[in-house]
Amino acid sequence: MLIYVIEDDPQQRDFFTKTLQAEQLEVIAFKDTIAAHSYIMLHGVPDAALIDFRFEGGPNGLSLARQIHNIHPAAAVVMTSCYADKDDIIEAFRSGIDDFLLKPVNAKTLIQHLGDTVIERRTKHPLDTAERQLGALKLNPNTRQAWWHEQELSLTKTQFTLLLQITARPGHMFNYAELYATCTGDHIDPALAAKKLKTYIFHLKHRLLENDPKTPCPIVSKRGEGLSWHLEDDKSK
Amino acid sequence: MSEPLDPRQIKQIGHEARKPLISLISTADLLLLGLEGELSDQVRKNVEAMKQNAEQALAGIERLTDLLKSNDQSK
Repeated sequence: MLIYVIEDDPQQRDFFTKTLQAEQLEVIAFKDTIAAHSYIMLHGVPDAALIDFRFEGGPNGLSLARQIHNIHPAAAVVMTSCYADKDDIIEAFRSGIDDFLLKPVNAKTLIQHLGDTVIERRTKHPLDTAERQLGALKLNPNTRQAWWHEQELSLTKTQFTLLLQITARPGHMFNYAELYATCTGDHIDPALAAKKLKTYIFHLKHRLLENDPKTPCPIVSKRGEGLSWHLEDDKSK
Repeated sequence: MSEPLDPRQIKQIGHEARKPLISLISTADLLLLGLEGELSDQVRKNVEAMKQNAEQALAGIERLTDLLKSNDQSK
């Protein structure tokens, strides 16, 4: 599960990041809403965002929460604040946040609330129901159809699920264990997952290349790391 | 204090006074959870005392801001 932590206080940011990482969660931390917004526009939304309500001299956390939900309503947003102001809390919930935590927050409460909000959000807004277009790729999760340069791809269920998963967050490297768990529901060792997915990935890449041999395959697999959908406009890649 | 505080000022003061203490408590939690490495018994005891003092100060600020709010509402 990927969590974005947006917090201006370095100690607080460090506490949230390390506490969540200790639970084997993937965390990306930002010092303000502007940095988080730029990253989201390029890499997509996380499973959950932990956002501070107030930022000195910048947009507050609510505008970021709204932007996240506009991009993908399945992302859970938990707002944190140093001060329990009734009006702020009402405004935050009206903006569609899932939870509001008054700091200091202990590790147990943090994990419990984040987990609950992610489950609740996913129940209300199941992932991947909307048709998705990424450059020449079009996916319809409802009918499990995929098109590449307007030609329909013939994919197995596992290949389609893999494609759906990696295109949910372009540029993000999904580890093999995470992908395998999405496809099968089983949690296994990353090395074993890589081995089991190898043939599916090979054929998936082949399907894309046979339809468009001139363009480099946008699926990037890295040994020991995972799989990602290459982001065309990300110059850092 | 010559002028009574308005709700916006109370909120600002509450926020500014709480923030460093919350930061301190979170750092203490991080240390006590062992996420920055193992602590010796003596260091653990000191960090626990530090956290407890910060929590007491935070409770004091809470009482003070509540009092200021209730004074403002009774005006």
